[in-house]
Amino acid sequence: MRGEASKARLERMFHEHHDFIWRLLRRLGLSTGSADDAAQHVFLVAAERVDDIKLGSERSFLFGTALRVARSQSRSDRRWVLEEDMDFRRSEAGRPEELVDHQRAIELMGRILDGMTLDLRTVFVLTELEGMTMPEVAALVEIPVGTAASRLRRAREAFRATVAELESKLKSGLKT
Amino acid sequence: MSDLKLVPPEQPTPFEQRLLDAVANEAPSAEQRLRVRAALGLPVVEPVPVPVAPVGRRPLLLKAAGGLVVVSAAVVALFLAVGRKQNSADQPAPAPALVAQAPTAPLPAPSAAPSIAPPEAEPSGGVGPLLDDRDNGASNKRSRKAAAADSGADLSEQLRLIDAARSAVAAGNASAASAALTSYRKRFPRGPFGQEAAVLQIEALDLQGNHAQAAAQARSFLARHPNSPHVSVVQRIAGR
Repeated sequence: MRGEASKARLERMFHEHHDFIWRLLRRLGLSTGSADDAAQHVFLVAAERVDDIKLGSERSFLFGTALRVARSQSRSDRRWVLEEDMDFRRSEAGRPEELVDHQRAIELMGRILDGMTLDLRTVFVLTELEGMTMPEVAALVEIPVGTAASRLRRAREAFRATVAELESKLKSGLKT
Repeated sequence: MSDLKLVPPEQPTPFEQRLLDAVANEAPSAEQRLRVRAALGLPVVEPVPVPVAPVGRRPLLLKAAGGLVVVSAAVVALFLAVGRKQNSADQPAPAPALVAQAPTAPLPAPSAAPSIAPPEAEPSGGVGPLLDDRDNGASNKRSRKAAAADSGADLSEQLRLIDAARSAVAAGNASAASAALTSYRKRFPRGPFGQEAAVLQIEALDLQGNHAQAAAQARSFLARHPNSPHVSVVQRIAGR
């Protein structure tokens, strides 16, 4: 049976990191349902090993476990094909940012992120969506700061190129 | 900051910002939090409203845009929100993502024994944030309401039934497990422990010697929940 100290520590880990881990899993390409399952799995692993996790390394442990879970997800479950079944012409006139409703924007972001490798995607998500600094990202992913910065540059280039392509398609769809 | 020198922030286009904002506001549902807490053996507290965009700091891309865009958007959003106050109950605010993106307070200090907060009513529009489990659409809206209705004493009852089923399976008493699970499904058809109930049902069927049905249900479960923490148990039965 788990001791009170371990239970309190697990409670703290849940409170501080559950939502972060869930968001991370979603942004690494898991559907909402799969992210629910995967987040639970990550915390069950943490619960089993709570006494072995070094104090202060809780976030790092959960992050590493979540990455492994996301990697193990079958590609077929999370692959999005950009443009597939997207109707770029159904919106009414307006600027692209006005044409994409919330749900569609989430879908588009999922497809854009799916176009990146896991390495680039992870750094992009942590920086641009979680607001972490480069040293924080480097420490969490366990890579040199320079490598993290390089990945971020490439991820941003990929992001911008894909968004520009989508934007152009949205605009051309309007003209027809 | 050194990282800003390494990778200078860039100003996003409005379209880029729209896309970033959409995912920045995602968060797990209250049901999901309950389910994980229950699985971890932590006290199951009543569902509380999903906190607004607990996303930490603002993205670097946005930092570069300076305060002007944010302030302008906030003013416009406020303007629109006030203008639509009368009929906002059924309509989402037109620029909620930016509103929800406003810097948020840090998470409350964690505690070993979380306080129990009463469920709150659904947001009634106005400047109410786009709550992230929105990407499940109407079904999530229904399930949030269902969760609120099922809260309180019901949660204890749900846990009692699931625990009873689990104990019965562990003791090899399939009929007692099935009775508890039937009661659970009848009383809480959209309860947060549906997955646990499904796994226990499969185990109960297997215990009864109904291996074919158990295996069929196990395969169906695996197709629906390929990453469930119960996969190893269910796979064992599915393989029979």
